[in-house]
Order: sequence, then structure tokens, then C-alpha cells
Amino acid sequence: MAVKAYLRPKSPSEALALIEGDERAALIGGGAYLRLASRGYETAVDLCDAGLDRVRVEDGALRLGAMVTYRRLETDLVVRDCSGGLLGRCVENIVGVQVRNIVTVGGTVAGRYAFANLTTALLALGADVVLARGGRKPLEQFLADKAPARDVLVEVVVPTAVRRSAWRDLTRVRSDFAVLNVAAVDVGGEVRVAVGARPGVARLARGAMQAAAAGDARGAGEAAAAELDFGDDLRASADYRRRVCGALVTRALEEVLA
Amino acid sequence: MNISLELNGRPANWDVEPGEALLEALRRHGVLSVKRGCDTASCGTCTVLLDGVPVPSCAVPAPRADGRAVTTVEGLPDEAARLGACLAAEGADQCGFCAPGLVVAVVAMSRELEHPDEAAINHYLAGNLCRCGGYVSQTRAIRRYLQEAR
Repeated sequence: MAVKAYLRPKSPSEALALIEGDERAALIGGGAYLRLASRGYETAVDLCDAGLDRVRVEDGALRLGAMVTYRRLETDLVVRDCSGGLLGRCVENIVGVQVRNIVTVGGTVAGRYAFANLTTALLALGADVVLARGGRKPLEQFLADKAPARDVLVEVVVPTAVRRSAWRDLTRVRSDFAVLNVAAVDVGGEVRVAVGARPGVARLARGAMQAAAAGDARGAGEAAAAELDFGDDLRASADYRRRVCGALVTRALEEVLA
Repeated sequence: MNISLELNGRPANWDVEPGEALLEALRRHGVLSVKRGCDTASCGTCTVLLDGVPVPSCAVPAPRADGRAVTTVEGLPDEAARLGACLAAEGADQCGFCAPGLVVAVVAMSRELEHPDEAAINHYLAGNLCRCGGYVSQTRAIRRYLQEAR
């Protein structure tokens, strides 16, 4: 990656000041995709010293700092207990341990990566994001923002009232990106379903959630397949994804509703 | 830019480029055990320990190593010799290109997991690819190494 200056700010506000108004400055979270970046940057702003690697439970919510790694989601007992194990399960087969030691929650969410398993799980859990300038907002709103302002993602806030959760994904080989991924969660009595890698970014399947509220897992699968948009890419066709979606949503909900 | 790090237990001061990966900095400073494989954080052959944690050095910016400890296979001579002997005994090593990264990852696993079974070993090492030795004999060698290390 072509970079002229490399900075390690000590706080999110310091990082924000470095990128605000400077289109040539880029934030670095885990850095896993730096080798794939085609463009260079004048200034790289690395968040590794910004104090964003904490996991804490506060006011009934799990707060994940933006620099918390995937490996931490797998191994941290607090994360496991608060999310019903969902946050660990959704990332545990991504490449290898080495990569999961550098890929971060914030890098994934802020990147709005369509293939990201984690984003699908967080959306189903009803997570919020906290931005240094933009404040707290629902993840769903953050993902839908077509013209996001330059900002620093500070943490992700996840409700801890998870009663049951299920994860389903289909991959061509185990460590590859998913052809499709599904998370279903019972949070405080509300069943939520999110579907990602369609190949668009994760979305809630509201029709499926209505069917799930009535205890109809098969109907929820049919609703999700009908209401969401699917596309073609090198991994699968839109039609294949639509059929897979119905099956995975049904199976995930059978587990949650059991 | 200048960075100070601890490399295999010894202090080092390096000039690195702001956009350079740790892999490139290590090799430029003569640490040639750290191999350039896929260069996309997928194969594990460039694995090093950063403050004791296994990471793909091709995806870690070199400036991020400032003030931290980097361990390569040269910093694990006893473990490398013992695991190397197990790999040889089980016929698990052919070209050897992936071996330094594998040794570093196995050492990290042995420190992190208590008595891993075969499934846990395979899961932990899923990010270390080998294109010629095959995984069955490697897994046998790693189990033998872990048993002997107890």
C-alpha cells in the first residue's frame, strides 16, 4: 500500500481530527485488507493505540470496542455469554486464527462489507453503532446510509437479552466467504432474522420475522426468499441464493423456536 | 520512519516505509524464514507472533510493530527443532516452504489450547496451507510433538 505518513492517535477524537476534511487520510482497523487495496493514501491513521479494544457490559448491553478482534469474539467468555455464542460462531471459520487475530469488529462494520458474517449477526442482535461525531444509531440505519460522513466508529452496542440464537451459512469451502448467511435471534421475546451475502450487505427479513412471531419457521423461510433481493456473483446465482435463503432461514428458526 | 521493536528477544531499531508490511520489513532486515506466500493473509506461511499472538505478517503494517515484540521461528529454536524432528519422523515435510509459519502457529496453539484434540488442531491450523506435504501426516506429527512436550 502506498502511504506517505503513518499515525497512531491515542483516542477516537484525535483520530477524527486527523481524518476530518482530509480525503487523502484513511483509517486502519485490523488492516487485513490493506494488501488488497488498490489505491494509496497520503496518511494512514491506525486505531491500534486509540483505546478501542475493550469489551464491557454496561447498562444491560455488551459494548464491543471497534478494535476488538474476531478471535476475541470467539474466546471471550463475556462475549459468548452475552450473545448466546452467536458472535463467536459466525466468525470461527473465517480463514485462520492468524487472520482472526487482526480482523476487527469496527473494520468490518465500518467497511459495510456485504460478505461479512459478523454484520449479519449484529443486525439480527439489534446492535447499535457509536460514532465519534455521529453519536449512537441503529446498525440498520448506519448500513443504509448512502452518503456516510467521515467519522470514527468507536464501539458497537449489543443487547444482552438474547434467549436463543442460531447461525447458518453456506460456503463452497469452509474458510471462504459465504454464498449466503443467516442469523436468527430471540432477543427479549422478539425474533429477529437477518440475511447477508446475498451478495448485498445484510438486511433484516421483516416478513420472515412476522412469520416467526407466529411460530411458522417454514413460512418465514418462504417470506425471506420472497422479500429480499439477491444477485449473481462468482460464488452463486441470484436464483440459487434465493433457494438457499429459504432453507437456511427455516433451519435457523427451527432452532430458535424449538 | 523509525520503529523500535523487540525481535526474538533482542532490541532492534529499523527504518521502515509507512506503507510497508511487517513481512517486507522482516525480510529486508534479513529475517528470511518469514516467507512471502499468498500476500493476502490467506496461507499462513508468513505467520509471526506479535506480542505472543500469531498474525499474518503480510497484513500487519510494519509501523504497528513499534514498541512491540516480534517472534519468528528463529526465536523458537528448541520448539522448531523438536517439531521439525516430529515432521521428519512422520514424513510430513517436503519442500518446507510452509514450515516456519507452521512452527510458529503450532507453538502459539500449544500455549493457547490445553490438550487440543485432532478437531481442535485442524481448526486452529486451518489458516496454514501446505501444497505438497499433505495435512494427515502433519497432524500426526503435531500430535506427536504435543504429546512429547507434555
